[in-house]
Amino acid sequence: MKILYYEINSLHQAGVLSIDGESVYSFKQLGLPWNTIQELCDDKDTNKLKKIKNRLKEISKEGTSLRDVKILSPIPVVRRGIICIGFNFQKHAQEVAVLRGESKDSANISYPIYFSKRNATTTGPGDAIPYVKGYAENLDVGIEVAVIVGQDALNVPKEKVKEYILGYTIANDVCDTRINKVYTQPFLGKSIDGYIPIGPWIVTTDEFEENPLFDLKLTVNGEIRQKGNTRDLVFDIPYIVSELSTNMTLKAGTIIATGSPANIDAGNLEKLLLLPGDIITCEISQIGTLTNVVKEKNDAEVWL
Amino acid sequence: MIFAVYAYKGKTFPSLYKNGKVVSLKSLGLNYSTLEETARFIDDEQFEMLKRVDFSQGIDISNVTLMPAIMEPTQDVIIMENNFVDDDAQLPTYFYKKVNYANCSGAIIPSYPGHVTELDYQVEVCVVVRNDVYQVSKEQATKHIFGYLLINNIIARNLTLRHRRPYIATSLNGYLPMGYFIVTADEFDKPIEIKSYVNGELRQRDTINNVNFDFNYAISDLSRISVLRGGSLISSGTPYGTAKDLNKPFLSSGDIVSVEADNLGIITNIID
Repeated sequence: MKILYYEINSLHQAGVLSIDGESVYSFKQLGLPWNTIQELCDDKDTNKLKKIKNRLKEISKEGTSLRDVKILSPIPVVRRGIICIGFNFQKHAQEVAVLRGESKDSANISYPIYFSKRNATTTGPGDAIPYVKGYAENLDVGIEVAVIVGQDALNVPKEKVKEYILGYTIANDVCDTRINKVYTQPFLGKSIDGYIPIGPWIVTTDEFEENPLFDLKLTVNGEIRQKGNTRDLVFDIPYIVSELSTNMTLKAGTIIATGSPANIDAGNLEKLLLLPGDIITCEISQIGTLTNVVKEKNDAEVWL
Repeated sequence: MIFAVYAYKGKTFPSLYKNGKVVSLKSLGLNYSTLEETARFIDDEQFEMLKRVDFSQGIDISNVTLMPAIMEPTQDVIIMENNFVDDDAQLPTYFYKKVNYANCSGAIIPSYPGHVTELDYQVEVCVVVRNDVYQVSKEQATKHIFGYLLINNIIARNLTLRHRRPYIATSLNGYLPMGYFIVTADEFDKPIEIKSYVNGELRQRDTINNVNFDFNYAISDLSRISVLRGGSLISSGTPYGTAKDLNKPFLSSGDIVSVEADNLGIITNIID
């Protein structure tokens, strides 16, 4: 199933895509109580996905045409940051090491590098990625599979991780490389408003095997920038979720971005910088497509 | 003013505190469910009204239970790392600490044998941000200081090493002992002195004006191109004197660790 959050007649609704993919039903239309996907996550009922599925099968009246709604970020308000894993694709780790003037070997990691992107909000499909003149002009993007935790997870063994995941969506981990460089760390430059588009929907875990493999492809104005498959993750999704849940509760609704693959043309720095008007499309097999446009934002001039 | 949260018959009440008495914000017509929410949404009129509260009808705290001031921060705590280190850093180093729930004084700090081997204490003071902030100067940032709050930023040093970043190391469940009180700036007439003790032995002692980057700087810096949510916690970082700094044994089972600050109280915990 594809769970989504959308706007119709200026109202925001959480719901699910119809079986044929042509229309949407809000949870309310299906007689289910949740107004947001966070509320769905917070519901302790372990059968909640099955319930949605059954209601979807039973319903006879027509849903709202997908064309008539605006799809929003599935989880627009972030609780306790977005958990990221650095260097989880070996080739990407190597390219970053080389760009920093370090040896390729320094990219070999024995344990995952976790950190948090402290965005209070996420943006959704079609929303602008801000290019802030004079401050954030060195945008970099990274396609990642985002795991959405479906119920509070504490000390979950790898084999059981699937039970705790609501599903998967696409995340674009945007950062400003200049800010990261001057602060000598990747936190502030990643935590700018609008730097974490996610969506378009959450594909529920029941559609996948235990450790699903996804093809990832990011294009800029139609030209391929990043390409990869999650089989090349240094640490796979069950490993990451299990390790993160060790003595640290992953609350329902937590977003975990699992790592970004290498750039096709990493050596060419000029080519990597994004400009206003650039169209960024993230495509992940079995999930869908997330498109955003870089847009100039001028209101930070006071800080030049 | 001093804000606190008390629990009574299974419910929690954000409140004002004075001389052993609490008055719930609800009884004053403010329906905020947490102090985080209060800090985020309180307006000037409400704030002024609170200054005139009559405590004669207040509840004696012996009849209720005080709770950590912000029990479940909805956003990661922002920590300024190495902020007391004498260096010529041009910019602060921020990292984010996940907090699922804060512990109060008296609670047990889990030791997680097999996972954690180098448990360390860090006395710090957090500023609680007042109202959402976007693009303010350092001078204007003063207006966005709701109050100060004492924490012990517990860290598992071996996990910082293992994962190259302090995120997991500081974010395990039970790693944020927190004070009962959020105290507004006007209650302080001198820089806040902070201290920590292990089994009664003084380990850290400094004043928070010795930081490289103060709270005004942080609020201004962090609000440059992102909205900094009201209710956010930004921590001062910790002064010299941790077990790691002093080459002392790390915390182990049965150790009693206390952190203390002027006007903000004392938090004492025992290691499991």
